[in-house]
Amino acid sequence: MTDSTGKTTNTINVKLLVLFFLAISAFLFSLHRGHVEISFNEIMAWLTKQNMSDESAFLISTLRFPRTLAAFIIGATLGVCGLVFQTLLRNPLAEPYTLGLSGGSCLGAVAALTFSLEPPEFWIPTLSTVGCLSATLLVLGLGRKKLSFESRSLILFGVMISLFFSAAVVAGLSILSPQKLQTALFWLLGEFGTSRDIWIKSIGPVLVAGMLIILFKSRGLDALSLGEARALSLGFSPRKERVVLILICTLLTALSVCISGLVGFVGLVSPHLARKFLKTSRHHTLVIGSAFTGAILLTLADSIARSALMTTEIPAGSISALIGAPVMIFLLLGYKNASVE
Amino acid sequence: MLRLNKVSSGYDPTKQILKEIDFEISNGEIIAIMGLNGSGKSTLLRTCLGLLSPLHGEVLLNNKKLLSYTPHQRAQKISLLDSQTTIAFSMTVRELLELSISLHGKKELFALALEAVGLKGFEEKNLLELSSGETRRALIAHTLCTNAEIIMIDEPFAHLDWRHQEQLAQSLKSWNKKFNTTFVLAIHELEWIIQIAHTVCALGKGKILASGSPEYVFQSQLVCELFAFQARIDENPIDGSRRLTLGRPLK
Repeated sequence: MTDSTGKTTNTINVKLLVLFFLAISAFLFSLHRGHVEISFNEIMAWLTKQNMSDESAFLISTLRFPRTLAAFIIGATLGVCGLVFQTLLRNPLAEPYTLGLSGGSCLGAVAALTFSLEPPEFWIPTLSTVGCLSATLLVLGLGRKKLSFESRSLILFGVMISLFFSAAVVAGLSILSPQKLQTALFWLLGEFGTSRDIWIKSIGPVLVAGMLIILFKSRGLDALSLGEARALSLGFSPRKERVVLILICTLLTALSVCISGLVGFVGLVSPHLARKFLKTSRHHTLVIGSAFTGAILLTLADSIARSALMTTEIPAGSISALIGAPVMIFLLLGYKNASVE
Repeated sequence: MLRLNKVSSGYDPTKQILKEIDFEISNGEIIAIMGLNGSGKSTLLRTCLGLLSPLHGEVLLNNKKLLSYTPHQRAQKISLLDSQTTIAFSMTVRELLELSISLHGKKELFALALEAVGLKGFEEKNLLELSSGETRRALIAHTLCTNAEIIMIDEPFAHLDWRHQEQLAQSLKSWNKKFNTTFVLAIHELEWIIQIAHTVCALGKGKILASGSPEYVFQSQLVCELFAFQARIDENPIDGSRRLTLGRPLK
């Protein structure tokens, strides 16, 4: 789809380029920042495979790079999933976290942890996906019975489901050993820098592939943003498009949660920031924009999380919420009434 | 041509809203659907689009089952703007119209559709900042841009002031003549039914009470009883157009 004037298209392309450079900068900044700072010269040397100190090379390859890559890709994924849910439900507050999907996923992951299921790299993603899918079916199934799919009240079902799963997770936590308890607690708050970061090597390609499929389906999202009747009148089956998109987002959320735990606000704020900055309603642009803004937000949140305190780390999820909540309030205050009814 | 054969339809299989309806939409006509609130007008339009599958009976498009067409093929034939379509996120009028054009429409329809609804000069306006009447007109322009053979609009005159109602009525008439587009309009404003419709279909309690020319339907006893009026159609002395006068029913 092309925008009407070359000028508009050029402006949007320039803005996407700006976001791309900001995302790359956030990535490099995240590689640099930490209790042990790595100079940009060393980072460039590592990226171009030149000679550098063994200590820095080890630090980047085994810790900093997988962690930064995980935050970057998961941030992008949550941003894209947030955009998809906001469009499908025509609700500016929809995202995997507020719909209870992240909660369901977390319950599955904590269950795998509680029962010490081995090997964890199989059971955590599997139960996380099962939990996420159950939450999706519960929210949409319950909502569908009493409300239309696009009803703004559907988000209330999501919040209730989310609270229910959180309570179930807390109940599960009470029987954990102190060591597992800390892991599980940090999971609830969202964190990077764990042994799970390395999973991004196998999960990352799936997340990127999912985002590419969503990008490929962006025309359907354009049509669905106007509701069922218009979507069908524009040549897209609303049911089919929804099922495919929801299943993809459910899988992406589950896989993201099993690495990072519960990260709120990134999925909520990123699409709004992308809409505000890019000033377009076209989803092929918004999907890319939300991916970049999500990646920037979470990568920066994780950089702050690991370097704000000298002695310990703060969970990245709490930093993303500390940044995300005021930004969201600021954005909501700037909206016209119609968009937040 | 779209035909409904003994179609029963509704949102819940145990609650039929439309009951065994036989209905036909001929090419190039302007058809007005009238009925009280809850009579099944919107359900009829949604069934004609295929958004609701019939509980009984069949919907045929050019003698082929409607649901055998792919959504893409169907969109080239039928387009529905329902009364609940709203804009949820920022979008300019231009983006809204271009969405139709990029998928099915023709570029030249952009300016024609904007002119038809009186929104020339509104291209770069954000729909969230327009009034409900202006948004509705933009959505009607967006629907016209799809270039579908049958365009169905649920309550086309809702939210519009009298001047823009008049403009839209004239525009739909000339669009129908120019492009031979079939219009199916669910209308509450009875005076516009008289002005623009070739055929009127009056619905009551999920059944068709009367169908035919406006004169025939407005004289139908069932329709007069349901709406609790007696109607007279004559010439408007001011501009020579058709005029509808309604009075209280005879006791």
